[in-house]
Amino acid sequence: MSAIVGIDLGTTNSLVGCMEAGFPILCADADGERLTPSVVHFPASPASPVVGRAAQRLRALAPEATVFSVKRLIGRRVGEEEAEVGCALAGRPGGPVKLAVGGREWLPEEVSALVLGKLKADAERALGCEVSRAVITVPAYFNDAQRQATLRAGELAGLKVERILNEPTAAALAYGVDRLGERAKIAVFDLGGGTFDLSVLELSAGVFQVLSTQGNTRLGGDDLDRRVEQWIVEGLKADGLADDARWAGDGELRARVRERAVEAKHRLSAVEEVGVELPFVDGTRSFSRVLSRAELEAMAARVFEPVREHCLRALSDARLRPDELGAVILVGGMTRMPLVRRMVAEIFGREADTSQNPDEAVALGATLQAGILSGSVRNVVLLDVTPLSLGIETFGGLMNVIIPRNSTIPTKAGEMFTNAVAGQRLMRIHVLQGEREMVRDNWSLGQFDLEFEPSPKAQARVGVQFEIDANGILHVLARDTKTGREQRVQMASAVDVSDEAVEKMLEDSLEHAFEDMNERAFTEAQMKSRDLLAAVRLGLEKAGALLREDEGERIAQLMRAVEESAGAGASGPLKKAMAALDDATQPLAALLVEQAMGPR
Amino acid sequence: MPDYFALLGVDRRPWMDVAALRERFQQGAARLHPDAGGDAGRFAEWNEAWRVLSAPALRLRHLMELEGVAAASMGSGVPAGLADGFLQMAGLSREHAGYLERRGAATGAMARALLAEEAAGLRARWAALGGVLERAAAAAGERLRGIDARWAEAGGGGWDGLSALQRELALLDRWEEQVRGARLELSF
Repeated sequence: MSAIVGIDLGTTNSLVGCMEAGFPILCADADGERLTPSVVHFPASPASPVVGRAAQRLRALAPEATVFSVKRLIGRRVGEEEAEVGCALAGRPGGPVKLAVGGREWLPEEVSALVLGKLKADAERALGCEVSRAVITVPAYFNDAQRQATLRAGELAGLKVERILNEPTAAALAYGVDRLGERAKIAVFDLGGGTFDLSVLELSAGVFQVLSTQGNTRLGGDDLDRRVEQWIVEGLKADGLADDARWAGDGELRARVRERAVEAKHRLSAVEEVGVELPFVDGTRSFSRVLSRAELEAMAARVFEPVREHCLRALSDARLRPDELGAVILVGGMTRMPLVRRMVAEIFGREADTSQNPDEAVALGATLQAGILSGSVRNVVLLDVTPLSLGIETFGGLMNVIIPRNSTIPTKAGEMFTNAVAGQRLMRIHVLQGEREMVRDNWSLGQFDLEFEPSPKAQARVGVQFEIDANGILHVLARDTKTGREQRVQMASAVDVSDEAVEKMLEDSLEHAFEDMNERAFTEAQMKSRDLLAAVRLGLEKAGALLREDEGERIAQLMRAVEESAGAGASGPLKKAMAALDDATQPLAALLVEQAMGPR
Repeated sequence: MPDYFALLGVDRRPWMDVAALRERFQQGAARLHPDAGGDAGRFAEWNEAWRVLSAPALRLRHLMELEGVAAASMGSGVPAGLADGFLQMAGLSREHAGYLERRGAATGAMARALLAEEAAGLRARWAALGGVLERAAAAAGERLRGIDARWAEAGGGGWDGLSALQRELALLDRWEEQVRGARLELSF
């Protein structure tokens, strides 16, 4: 069996490592560099694409033929993500995003595969043997489509992907592998080029159990680069060196500005101010301005503001207070920025742990996981979680959660479906990921049809099993309880199917909004109505005497209406009646709250 | 139906030392995880057993199902001892929702600053309610230990009050989540 390598496929940079004599070692390329810029340059055919540092150097010369930050587009649909990646975007609405470069259209995973191919070759050179298996890391908050696309990128590069591993979990492994005797709860704060993750873990006797994870797959250093670029552009305009038309049309200028912006950002982590220079920007005149760290920090504070909410959410999900954490580990290039470190200190009430190399910890962790899978690292196991709740669409455009977020994976959950009317043969199931109540606010993973044997109403029964594997990827299994027939369900993912099919899917989902779920929605509403009536009765007992007569009468009348609808069988009118009652009880609630608060 | 007590190899009892159970879960998980050569399906069951047994309300429900004890009927309403908390929760939730709506509509720092006092008030009240719930949960935990002791004496079958307690614990869980969620929303 060939060795397994660990790969950090980053937005900005990528790395590859392998286990040697029980230690994770990162491989250097032919130039002796470990960090490979995740940049691909497409020269005029028939020359083949150039990857890494060489492509990076060509970016300023041929910006339109050079792709970067492609990770922000992987697994995305057109219209979902506006990230700038250098070349023009293509693809049709509802379908996957494509890149128009090098004379054809590329899927993001095809471009990522070129980066992976280079890493594979580097590892082969370092190891002196063929490499065909890999662990590849992804942001913990990647959804199913993004994970699957990453998996395909690996396959396209000729790698058997043994594991899709979450980046903060990988970093925790790199941190914790030297501390296997300790028992501690830690947080990993991972702010990279394009994504942010915060994971809370418990380390105990070689078990790395993730307790919660939160993140944002469109928040990273790239976004700050954009802000600095804007600052430069505003300066160019103020100096009369460029106007909107030139900025839009001049790819070379954009590439130069981007380079300066990134450079300024990096240098301001160490010095208080930098000069930003663009010599002969309009042929004769030059641009020159000073950017101070304070100015950069003002931009960064706005860009990274959402980080705070994610951290607090992750702690709340783990049911921990900041002071219960043993350490907050920083990884990702952006955590070099002093402001980011101050934010972390403020949020968690402690200085962050900077023991890990922010660029390398994730790759080292991926390599350790490769070691776990190949047996060279023993007595260590990662118990990771699924970052997003998995559910299906139910009546009324609501999402019904089947596997809640932060469930330890691999996990499975079953759901039973039955025919709503006699002879019904098909039922469409729409699978979703996300935390919002409404279907439209969540990610659609795809849809599939369940087949029923011809039967009287509610007699055909099909059990569906939803499994999330150790990669965080969903598998669906359907089993007819009468015939015992079992089959793996192939989901028509909106990212894979043709445009026509997507349109049809959209129409369908609008037309038959799960009539079969009607009954269940009603049962749920009925249960809620009991809670509501119980609350109102209690409230009347406590403070009913203080209500105005007309208020009391209206409440009594609406309570009867709720009771009647609760006996009727349709969820719509019941929900309306409940809403009306809820509304009418506001004065009562106010009285109760007054009572509860006592005299002020 | 699977017997999660048997699966995790612990006594079938109402009360459980969750810290010890966690250790047991983690050790087993290290053996059963697919990375250690285990089967994903069996790991998922082990996982589920831990999830159920570590949460008192879910554990009691599972115990009642295994023992064939009827669940308290849904119609029985809010247990008498929790009525006050229930009312406070309902009123405060409504105010909280109103506040969030105003906060969402508030554009500009001034508008938000005008809401700060309201937020501080809500925070204090949620914290107080959280304290009430914590005490209620502690009291419910005491009762659980009492039932557990009787259970041990009777060699199983001492389930007087078990189903009412189960319902109470389930309610307290739901409220705890609600209070935690509200306090989180007020923290940013």
